[in-house]
Amino acid sequence: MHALLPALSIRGLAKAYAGHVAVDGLDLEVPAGQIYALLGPNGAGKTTTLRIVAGLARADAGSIRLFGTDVEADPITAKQMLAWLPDEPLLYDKLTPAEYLAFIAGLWRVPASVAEPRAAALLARLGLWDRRDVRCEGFSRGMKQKVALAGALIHEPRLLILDEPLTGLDAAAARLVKDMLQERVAAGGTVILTTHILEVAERIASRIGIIRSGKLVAEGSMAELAAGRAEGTTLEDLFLELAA
Amino acid sequence: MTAITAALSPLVPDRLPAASLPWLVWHDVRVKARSRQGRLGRLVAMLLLAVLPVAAGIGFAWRTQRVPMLPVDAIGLTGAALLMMLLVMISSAYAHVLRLGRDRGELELLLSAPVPVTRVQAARIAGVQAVVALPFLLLTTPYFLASAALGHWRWLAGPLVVVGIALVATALALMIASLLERLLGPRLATTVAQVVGVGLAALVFALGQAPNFAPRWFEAQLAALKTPPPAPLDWPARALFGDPAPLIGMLALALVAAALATEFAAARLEAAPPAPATEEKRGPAARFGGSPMGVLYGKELTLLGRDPELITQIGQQMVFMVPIVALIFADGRITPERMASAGVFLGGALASSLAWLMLCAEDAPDLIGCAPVTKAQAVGAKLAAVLTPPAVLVLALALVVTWRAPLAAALMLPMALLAALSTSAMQAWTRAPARRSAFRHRYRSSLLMAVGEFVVLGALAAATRLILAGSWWSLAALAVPALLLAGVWLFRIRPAD
Repeated sequence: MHALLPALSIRGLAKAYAGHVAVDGLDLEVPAGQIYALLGPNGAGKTTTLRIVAGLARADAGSIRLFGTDVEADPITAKQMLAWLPDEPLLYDKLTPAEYLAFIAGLWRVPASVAEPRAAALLARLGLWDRRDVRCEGFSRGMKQKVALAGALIHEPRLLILDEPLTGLDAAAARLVKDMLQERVAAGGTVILTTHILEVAERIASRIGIIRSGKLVAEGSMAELAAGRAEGTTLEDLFLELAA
Repeated sequence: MTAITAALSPLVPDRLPAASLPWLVWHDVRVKARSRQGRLGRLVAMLLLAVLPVAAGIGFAWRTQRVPMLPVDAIGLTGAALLMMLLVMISSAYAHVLRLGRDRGELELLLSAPVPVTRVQAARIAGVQAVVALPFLLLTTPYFLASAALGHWRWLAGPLVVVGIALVATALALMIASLLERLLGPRLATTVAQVVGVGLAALVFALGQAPNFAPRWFEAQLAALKTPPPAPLDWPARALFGDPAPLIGMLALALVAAALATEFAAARLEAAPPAPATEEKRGPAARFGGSPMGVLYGKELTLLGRDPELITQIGQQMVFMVPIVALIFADGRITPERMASAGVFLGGALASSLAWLMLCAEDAPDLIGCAPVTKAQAVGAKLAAVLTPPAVLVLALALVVTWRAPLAAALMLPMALLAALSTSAMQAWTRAPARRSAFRHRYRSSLLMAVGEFVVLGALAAATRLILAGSWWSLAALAVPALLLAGVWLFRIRPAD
């Protein structure tokens, strides 16, 4: 029955900061083995929701389950299954990409015999192999983003959460990242991402959720969302209608 | 508007000519002041601290009111003091010059505007010159003003000479920076300059303690300085006392230095790369193995070991402890009991510097936050990393002490651990999380906490000595840090979440 469990199940999630309601009784379910795009205007509560899921913020109310595990009750088991990639890369400037991956593998208890070949493959795939022993302090933003992505993938998380993953990447790197996310899903993983580039969501996401003022206002596949509307309706049209 | 900009705003014309030098300088002041928003307490603390030089200046001026307008006997000593001031100013200016090179974000905006490069640089250099001169002006101006009021009107030249020396120091710092960067490359130049800076600070502090450690040598130097040096080496001191020709010469030199500084700054800017340096740094790879706690512990020590700037800053802070440690050995007698006290103090002080860096500063907080480790495990690993360097220092001292007094060594170890845990806790409870690069602002951020740490460490060092002497007063000494820690805990920063 394990395979039928949703990757993420959120019930009645609420969060307020200093009187401002960021998330307002959100219910959301993300099936396993899909790419799910969470869209919304700035300040809609996307990042807050995902930060709570990743264990980086505490909810005021509601429950979150990752593959059936209660995030609040058993945070370590939940964290073991996920990776979080924020819009600003999480790096240590004084470590090299190879060391950074070894560090993350250590934190997630991936044995070195498994982590080392995996790191080599990721670094080669992302075009970082020649720079694997160079400290990250002089890297461009795009390179840092690639190192951070390799870090998120080194422990092969069951759920990968990405906040604006294509920021700072050139066209070729963005294409590569999209391919890698789809491969991750093909290998049995689940991906949740936020993006302001609606074309990306339309092209790679199996399901799309649109959030506004901390509440889910629409959800479904692109076809489901466009049903009943004029032919040729784009995600941009839908977004402007539902989220504005 | 902050208290600082609010206080300064009446002094600034409503509409300075846009993009003029004063306009650019005012912009710089405003931006820097706003980055310290909500620090009214700091302003009050600075005003309170200013009371000390004012009182000392008036008192000293009263004592020297019968000295001639040009005190020939004091020219040598004043010249030596000005030379020391110049060295400290160069060290300070160098640090600020390096920061100018790194903090380019806003500079790119200003340089893309239709404003001459030299004017932009002049505004930035004016900021460095002001920062370099200000502490010395605050310390000396009350004395010069009080002396002028008591009849030495020519001594009003004093603040002008201090500013002039700051201009010369900034120009020299820029020249040294350019030269070192060409010879050694930017990274090594930074390290060399920082090590020299620590050495310079240590030298100044050591000279300040010379009357305690080497009274005869100090007296001999004072006697030798009674004879004024030959011209033009005596010019700075003569200028300070308002001797017209040296004063004009010094001011001319200062103006030339200011012009040169702007030129050098513009040249450095043109030579610098447009983007952050991408110098490749290779070396033996760090290996992270074992449990997640072991991985975190290894990460902290690896990051520390790879950051010479932070190491030298910690070194500088340890140098500032020299006068305190000198108090422990005030009459020059080095006993095992006093060494135990010094070990407690130094161990706690080193832990304090590292605690901010390792417990509060984190470049990837989200990564640690979403890793499958408990908060207690993460803090425990970081605390172990904090305690490692002080443990090495204290154990080395303990080995020396054990040879002469095993009991003193046995007591020093737990007391040093207590001191290290106390200062670490104070840092962890009161410091907002930040990036490691914010380390250089640390002591400026809370004067009160720095004083609190001194009190805690002083009390624990005193308690160590009192316990070894079998005195019940040791309980009173131990009560001080206990009460202070309880107070800090009550007012600790609570996570926003």
